[in-house]
Amino acid sequence: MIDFLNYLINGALVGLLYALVAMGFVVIYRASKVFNFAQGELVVFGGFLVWWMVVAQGLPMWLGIPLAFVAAGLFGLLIERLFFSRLVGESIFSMVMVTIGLLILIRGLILVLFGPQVQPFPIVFPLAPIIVGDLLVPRSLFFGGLLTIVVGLGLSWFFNRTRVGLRMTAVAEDHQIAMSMGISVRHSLIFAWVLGSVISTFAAIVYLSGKSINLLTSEIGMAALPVALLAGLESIGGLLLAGVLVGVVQGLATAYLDPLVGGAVGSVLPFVIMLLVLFIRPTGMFGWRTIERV
Amino acid sequence: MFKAEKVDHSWARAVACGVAAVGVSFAAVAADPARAQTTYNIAGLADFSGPYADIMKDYAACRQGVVQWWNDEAGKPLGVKLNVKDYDTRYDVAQTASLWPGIRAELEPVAVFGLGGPDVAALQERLPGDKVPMFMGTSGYGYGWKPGSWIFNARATYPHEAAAFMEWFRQKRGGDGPLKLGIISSEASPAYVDIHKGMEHYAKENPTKLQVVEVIYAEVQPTDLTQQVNRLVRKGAEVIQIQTNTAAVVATQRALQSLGKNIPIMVSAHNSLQASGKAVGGIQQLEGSFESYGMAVPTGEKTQASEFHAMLRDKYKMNANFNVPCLMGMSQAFVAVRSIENAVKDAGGKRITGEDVRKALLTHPIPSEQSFGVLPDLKYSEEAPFPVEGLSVNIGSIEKGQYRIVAEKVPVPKVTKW
Amino acid sequence: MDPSGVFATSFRKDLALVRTRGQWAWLIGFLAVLALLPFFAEARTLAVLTSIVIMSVVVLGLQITTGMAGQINLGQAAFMGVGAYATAVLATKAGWPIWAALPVGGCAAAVFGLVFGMSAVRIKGFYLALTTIAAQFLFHFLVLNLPSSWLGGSNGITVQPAQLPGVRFDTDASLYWLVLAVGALMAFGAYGIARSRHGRAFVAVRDDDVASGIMGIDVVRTKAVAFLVGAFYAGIGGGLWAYYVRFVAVDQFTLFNSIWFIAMIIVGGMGSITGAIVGVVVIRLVQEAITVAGPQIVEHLPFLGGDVVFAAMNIFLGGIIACFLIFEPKGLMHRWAILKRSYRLWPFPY
Repeated sequence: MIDFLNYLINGALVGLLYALVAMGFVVIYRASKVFNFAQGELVVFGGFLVWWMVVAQGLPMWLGIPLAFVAAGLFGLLIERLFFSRLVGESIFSMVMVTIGLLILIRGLILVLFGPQVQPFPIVFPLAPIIVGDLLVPRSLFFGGLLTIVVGLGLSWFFNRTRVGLRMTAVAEDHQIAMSMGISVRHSLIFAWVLGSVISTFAAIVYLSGKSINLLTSEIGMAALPVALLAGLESIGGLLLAGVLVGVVQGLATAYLDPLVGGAVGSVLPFVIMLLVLFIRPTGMFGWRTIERV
Repeated sequence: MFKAEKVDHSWARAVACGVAAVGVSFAAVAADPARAQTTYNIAGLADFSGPYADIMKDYAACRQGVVQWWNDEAGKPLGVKLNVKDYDTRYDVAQTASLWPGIRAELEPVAVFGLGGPDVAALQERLPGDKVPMFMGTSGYGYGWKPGSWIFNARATYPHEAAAFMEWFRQKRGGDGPLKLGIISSEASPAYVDIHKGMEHYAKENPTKLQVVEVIYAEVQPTDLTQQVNRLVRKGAEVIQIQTNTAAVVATQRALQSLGKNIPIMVSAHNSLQASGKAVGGIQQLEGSFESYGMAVPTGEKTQASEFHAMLRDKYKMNANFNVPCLMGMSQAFVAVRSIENAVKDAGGKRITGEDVRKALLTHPIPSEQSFGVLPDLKYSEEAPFPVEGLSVNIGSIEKGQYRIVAEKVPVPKVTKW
Repeated sequence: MDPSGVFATSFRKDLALVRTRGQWAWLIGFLAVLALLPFFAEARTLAVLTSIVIMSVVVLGLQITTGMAGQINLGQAAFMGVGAYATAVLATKAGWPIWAALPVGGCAAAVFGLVFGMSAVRIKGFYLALTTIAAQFLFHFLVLNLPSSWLGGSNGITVQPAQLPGVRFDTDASLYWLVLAVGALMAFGAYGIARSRHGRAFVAVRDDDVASGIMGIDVVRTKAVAFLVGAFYAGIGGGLWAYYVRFVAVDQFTLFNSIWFIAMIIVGGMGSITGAIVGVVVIRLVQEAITVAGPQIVEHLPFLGGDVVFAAMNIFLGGIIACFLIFEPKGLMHRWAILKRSYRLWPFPY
């Protein structure tokens, strides 16, 4: 029984991590209607920025991490300036293609700037787990999970209840109409990418604290997509619930089904969930019901 | 990086024709083939822009170093010079497959230095037809364990090397009962799956010696392994095996640290203690863990292999560190040059081909002294791409914060095909 | 546009792909050169071209699905893998000859693709991209976990050379001709699709599916057909790959490969069949140039260090793609079309 609880709680926390990664993705989608396929690469880039500041340059963490956030924000700004500002008003199709090109570009950039080796990542959260009786909870996931909930609720409030946020929501609906209403699509895009980049860096810190970082870490970007879809691509608050669901299912599957099947069922299950969501309810749990069926 | 000498075939052919024409007239009088120096080419497959680019520098430099040394010491008396030309394959099957016909036509190599899986995938069906043997510096894989192979590994498979360690560790532990093993593996690529399948097979055949308590599937970059490692701990695992993945070693070590448990981890050459130590932030954090592979272990201690490396560095200005990639490069180079040496001796003056090299490899064993302790005694056969018996491994560990060799020439038990 | 003085005087002539005698001459000359290449080209050129043709078949399929019908497909490599595995299994375990195994492999890929496409075919937006990503991961999982006797599991499948009565395709030249023949057939088919009413329906659906629905096009069916055809092409490409490399393993068909295929149609020009082929050629040639030039640069400029030079060239490649997207999203074919047009119109501006 205690095992089951352990798997449950840890699964939920890992799910919150996925939700955090997905949050970067959804923020970008929410404010600019762009599916960012390069989200995993943004996470790795952010992580490498932290590594560079804290390990390579030797800055203390209280200085290095905020600087890394700033650098990540600047990087997001750079991406937006270079690629997306020219594409305002263009079809979403071309914007998505740009993110795919961006994926390759950022990978190459990481290789040149930071090298292909596996590097140690600083220990941001203490290593000792939180032990309550027989329950074992890794500290980084726990605090990361709490912060994810706070950030998630905060962003949700921002996008749904503040003027600025609602303007961006308009941009996510339709660029042309938003522009004709006098809403600055440019500003919205800038905000989206800067925030998306910063959130990705934060996700990297929670994910990799105490472990190692390397180009292949970007796989988590793909793993977060089912969470975003289950929540409904526009709902940030919904991500928290969707993340917990996907994480719990994956955690339990890894614990109970993997040994049974003799294969990595747990890692493929989120994608099966994604397919089921698309077949049954493509809007996800909390998405706007703007999915037009043909 | 050493400059590979360019060999212009058309010019060489023209000169060779001229020489042959003149030589024929002297043939009746005196033909002394040993005086003429023959050059043979070896194609070196490398990865300079793909996932293994970081180790390529030491790897390629060390294999070049061995070839250069051999040219001086063994090649000159035989009148043979070996020339290695490196090609970047980006660790990509399509790239290797499209490079190969060009390489073959341009170099007419007698041997190929292979790098990894994609080279094997791209060339394993072609080499028997093209009659060029390929030498790998990495371990073999179960799916390559076929008879009549033209691809040869300097070491046996990862399960072979791990089984040797398991047996040694079990005897060190003492007591009855099989050694309990937990494996952290992945499904990210067939290579990982092959390794744990091999271990499970060995455990099934030797239930008194080894018992696999569980195989954990993690991602290549695991999120958190505390729960999984906890399961292994509770099932009584005495050692955890993690092969070829550095990130998994780091995650497992962190998990062990959080759980406060001190179970040793066994790694392979690919994610050696040096590499994993660097990734985890310091080799001392891997205190009590082991690595096991069929090559010399590159600690700071003075061994025959380290002296050879020092000699290469001083005499041939080889610019490579003494580490696992360097040893892998040296391993494949040694197997290749010794086979070529035997082939040249067997041919007695005729020009050798790739097929002769392969035959020489299969008929002449390579004792450990010939590779200066880099490799154990090697005896190849038609049965498999690697020696299936008579092998031994070396085991390194971190003791009191120091990287040292704890066991040498540990025999590899019998492992059957899975 | 046609050169001045050339007019289509019948509907058939208007539809024609090759419009003037000059164009026929060029086309036939080009095909002749391709066919005769093994006699005078270097071995390496031949090998590079063989892999280019195989990839072109796959990318042609992607062009039909993504470039023409607007369905973003990030699983083309998985479909190629399904085709490769199907062909390999049929050829090895069932002993089917190539002329049966290859088309059936293509069909298997098409069915696999349809399964994943069906969910998103009914929905607007980019959900299809997500299901195709799921297809990649599921393909990987299924191959590794189904029993070894079915799909080879982690061992992969070794394929014997293709054989037709009297001919065994195990030399570079014979493989090249086989691949060229199949590739030419598939390219001809692709051009045919592009100029047919199906092609026009694809483009209509891509541009505006509401309007095309109003005009009477069955949007769901059109999308499904586009997806099927694209996956079929990928399957044929995969089958050719199986006969070329003769060893099929699951890590030859990753998500990363899929992304590169998309990069190829971006560079070549989305929506143009010729563009797909051009994209493949350009990217492969750049990759070859990197492979050749890299060691030279490292030799002459050793202070840069091998790994920096090569990684920088990776960026270069990624950068090209990003540049194309910003500055010329319609790809090289668009530039070429502008060039041709201005040449034909010269000295007039329009």
